[in-house]
Amino acid sequence: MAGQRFRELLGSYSWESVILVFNVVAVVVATLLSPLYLNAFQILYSLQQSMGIASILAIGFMMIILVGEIDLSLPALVAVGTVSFARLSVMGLPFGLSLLIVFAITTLAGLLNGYLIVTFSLPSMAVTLGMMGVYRAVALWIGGYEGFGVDAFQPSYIYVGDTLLAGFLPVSFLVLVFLFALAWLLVHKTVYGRLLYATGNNRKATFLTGHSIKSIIVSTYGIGGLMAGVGAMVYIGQYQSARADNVASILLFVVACIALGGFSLAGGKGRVIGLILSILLLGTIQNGMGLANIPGPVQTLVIGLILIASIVVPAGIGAVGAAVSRAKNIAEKYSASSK
Amino acid sequence: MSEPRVRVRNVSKSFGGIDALKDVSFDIQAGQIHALVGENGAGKSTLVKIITGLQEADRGAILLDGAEIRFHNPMEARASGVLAVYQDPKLFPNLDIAENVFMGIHPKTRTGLIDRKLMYRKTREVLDWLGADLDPKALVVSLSTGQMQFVEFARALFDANEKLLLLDEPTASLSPNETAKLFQIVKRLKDRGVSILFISHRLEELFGFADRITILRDGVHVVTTDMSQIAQGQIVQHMVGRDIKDLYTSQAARAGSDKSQAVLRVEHLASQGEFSDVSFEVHPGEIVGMAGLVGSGRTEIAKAIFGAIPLSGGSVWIAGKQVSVKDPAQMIHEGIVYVPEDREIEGLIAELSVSDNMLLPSVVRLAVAGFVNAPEEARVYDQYTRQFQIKSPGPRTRISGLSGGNRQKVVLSKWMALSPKVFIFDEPTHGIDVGSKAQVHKVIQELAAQGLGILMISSDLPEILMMSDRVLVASDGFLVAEYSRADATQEKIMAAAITGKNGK
Amino acid sequence: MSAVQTPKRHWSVVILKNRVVGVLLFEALIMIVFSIAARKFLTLSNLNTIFLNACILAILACAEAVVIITRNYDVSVASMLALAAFVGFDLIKRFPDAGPVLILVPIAIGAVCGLVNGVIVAYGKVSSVFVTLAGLSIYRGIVTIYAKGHQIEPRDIAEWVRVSVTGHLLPGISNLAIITIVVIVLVSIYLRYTRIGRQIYAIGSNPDAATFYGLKVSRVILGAYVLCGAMTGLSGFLFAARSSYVVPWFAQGLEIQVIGAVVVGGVSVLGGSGNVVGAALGAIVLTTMDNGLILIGTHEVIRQLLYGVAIVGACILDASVLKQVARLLKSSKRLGARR
Repeated sequence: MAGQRFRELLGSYSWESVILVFNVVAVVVATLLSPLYLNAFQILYSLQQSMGIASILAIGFMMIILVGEIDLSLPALVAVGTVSFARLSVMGLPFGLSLLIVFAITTLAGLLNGYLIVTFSLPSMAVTLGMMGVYRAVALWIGGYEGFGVDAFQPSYIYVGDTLLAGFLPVSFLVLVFLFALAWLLVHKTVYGRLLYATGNNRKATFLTGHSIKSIIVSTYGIGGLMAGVGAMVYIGQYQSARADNVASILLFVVACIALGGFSLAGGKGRVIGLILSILLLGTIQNGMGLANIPGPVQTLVIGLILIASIVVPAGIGAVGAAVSRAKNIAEKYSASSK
Repeated sequence: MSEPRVRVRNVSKSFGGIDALKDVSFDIQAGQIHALVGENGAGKSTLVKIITGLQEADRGAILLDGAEIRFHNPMEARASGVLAVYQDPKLFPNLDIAENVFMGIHPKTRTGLIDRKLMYRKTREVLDWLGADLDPKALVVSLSTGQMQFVEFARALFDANEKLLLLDEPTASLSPNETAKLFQIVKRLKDRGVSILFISHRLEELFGFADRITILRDGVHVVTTDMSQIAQGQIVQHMVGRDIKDLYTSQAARAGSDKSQAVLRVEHLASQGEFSDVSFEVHPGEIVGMAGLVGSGRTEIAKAIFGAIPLSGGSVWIAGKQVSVKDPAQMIHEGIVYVPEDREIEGLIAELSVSDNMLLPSVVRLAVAGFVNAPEEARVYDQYTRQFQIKSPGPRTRISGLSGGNRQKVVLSKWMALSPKVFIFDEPTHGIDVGSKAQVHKVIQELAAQGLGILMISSDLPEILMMSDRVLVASDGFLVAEYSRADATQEKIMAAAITGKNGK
Repeated sequence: MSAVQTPKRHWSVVILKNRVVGVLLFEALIMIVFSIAARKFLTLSNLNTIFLNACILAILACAEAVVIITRNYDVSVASMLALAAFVGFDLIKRFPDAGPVLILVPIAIGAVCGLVNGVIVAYGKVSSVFVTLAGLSIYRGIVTIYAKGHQIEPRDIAEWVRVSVTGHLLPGISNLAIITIVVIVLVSIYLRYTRIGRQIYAIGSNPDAATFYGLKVSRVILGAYVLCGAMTGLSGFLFAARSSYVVPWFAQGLEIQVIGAVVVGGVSVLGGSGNVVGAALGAIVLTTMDNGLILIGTHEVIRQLLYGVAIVGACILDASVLKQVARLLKSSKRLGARR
């Protein structure tokens, strides 16, 4: 029965469906607010500008969240990446080589985070907060106070973040599509992805089934670090600057994307398609706010409210549901005992 | 005889269709030490939870001094003079003993601030009264389990308005010295007129101490009598005396085990704080049952062999090859699999589908270049749902949608694809309906017939007797007895488990 | 009592009981090191500078410690501080004759922010990290909207404000120091000598036992957040009084210093242990190190590294102590007691 199947699908994808609906609504509202909105190039470009790097980080963050951990140091790693790129460019290295070096640095840093957390059983929030400070200091060391400006970068370095194919398609957008495709395959089609969900939902049982929880967790931090490196690559093209305080306030966007995407902050829940939809939604909202000339900090406030809503609403619905079923139980008890 | 202080009247409670208590009634007088005795799962802890308000009875009532009591939480019970001390201390490790005793009810000075001097002094008084040589300022985290138990007693006993004190296995983590002190305290409380319900497995301790004894079996009240009117052997008989013949209908005649080289051999296994000097063998095609009371270390032995908890000594041989135990992944590779006692938390991942759960151990092996091998997984799913008659709406259903018996079958089947040599079962039919129990037994017997070695931990004595070729008995971290199929009886096993001595 | 003696003198247990002493010793140590390394260090004026600089961080650390002891986080403190400071000072500017009673405004604003945080965390039962992360951006957004592009300048600041910080009620000790000491002593007494204060520790130490014994867990956590917010509001007032200008992006990025001070001061992020005096000392330790490193002429990078390394190091120490205690407990368990 097609109807039955459809309803099952809807039930299991309930969160994502709601976000999809919101997406449609947001596009309509944005168009109503400003006629400039409904233009393919405009949409693509602004999406890229506002959410491009946040999306890349969100992919890495997603892996870590799926196993129930967190890494607050990823934005700092992006800064390490940007200043490293700049310095390597100034030193004259070809882009390809720099790419390998920077990716290696950020991935190793991510693995270090994971190693510390897993080996010493440390609370990931506090530890990655500390490592954030450490990596910012490292970025400061590499980049100095002034950082680097547009002159530092060889043309090949800024190609990815800067170029538009056929006049409208940002190369970085293609990178993003590629990464999301990869992420989707990894999370939903591979053994690794299956183990991420298992670990996120029940570490004990996964361990007793013969899998190494430690390796799984450390690897997610490695992926996070790698994504930070990719984000750095896109950043230098987009902004053509590199400073130790880059992407200082991006964490909120990343976390909002994740929460809105239907991911449980305790791990084990959420789908890549949900993340894609939430990024689109947040990007549309930001785009609309920008076109309506809403000041920066106010936009941030709105994102913060959306984050709160994403967290509180499901908890609230859960609480209401629990209260309702409790009331039902009591009612049954009373009617049974009064017989 | 005056009106009893406490009356348990026709109390019944069931969980998900399984009866924990069936129409239990008995009385406790004031100033009486009343022992409550029964096997694991006989219903003792459930009764205590109902009395203190942690659970609600389905039917029946509890009367205290003639009035029915129905508490909603332990604090309410405490206010009415009903106190319980449980086995697992619920203390605040970072705080000191006095703070733990007085949490929520600290004494105050006239200014409204906590009177710490008074708090320490009162704690000192209680501890002295208990005969415990503990410093009220000691942090709980630095105490031994026995000492923590005494802090729990101090918490329960300091305000001297107790009417009913429930002690659930209080001597489980105490040394003989500490136990003697506890008994003195309980006697003093008895002289004060407090009613005491004393749950314990240590029957020999009850003689000369308890006044009356109530025995439960399978949730049913068997007998209540004076301690002076009953002997230890009779108590054991009441605890286990059931007609085995009626219970399990299928009794596959098995050819007996292959006396060839042991597929699993352990020697002098020890794990710090859990068990010591454990040695035994399991042969291919043999079912070795391991009986014992809760806390005797059986699960820890199994988990240690499986690599889930660390070993502090001893050696393990699998099919003649000595193996250095590292972690479950390695032991699975060597051919041992473990079906956990706590099925819902350790054996399954509730949020995942039936198929995902079933294939979790083999997902890596079946994978193609890292990608999930969907057709092969579907084949495995079909094979095992048929073989074990698992009733499941479909592979993608969440496993929480299956019944308990079917969930256990999924747990069993998930290991099958790995073709193990040794299967360790920990309480395989706990909390399952009768029909599924029989199926699980059949599966275990078939596994043995195929030449696997089976170690089966169980608190269900009839199950142990029916299934096992040999029975090992664990007590307090040691293996204390071994019986062949012909020799083993419920009484012998229970006696060995309780006394820690080999009854032969 | 029992034949097995729990080794009470083991180093891990000693550390657990006496962390404040440890922090004091550490402070003494670094003071010795710096007085040798830099001649200007051990002067009265320098020590005074250190102490005054530490005051505000000390109050903030005290505030954060209250929340951390309950096993939660509040990373929105810097934004709460800015909001409280700006609105408070704006009202002082507009009502110059109202006088010192207006000091209640920032305190109240902080308390309200804390209330919001606390309600969502305690009753929504959601992760405090993400909620207060959202709060961080929300409160910052609110202050930006309120400011409408303006800032508060020295001439707007009434005289009594300046005096409250730089004046000398008692000879030789600045008012700032007096306020700081009074606040810390009061909160310390509250946590140690009131039932609710002790419940704050209990909940952080063993939340399940707390619920089991019928403690009002949600209410206590809410109270902790409100207290944190109120103290943050007060420190906002002091911070602004000390600076010349008050701008909406005031105190950005302060979180890492605050949490650094808290963990260095011996308050474990796992909850249930440590005290506010330790947290305040942690603030002094970090300020001392910062000051000393400047005097030696250390590169800015190393100083930035400081806070991050302090947090990670304290977490590792914490985890090691706990592991060791657990191991001690295992080895003291008796087997075969009746044989």
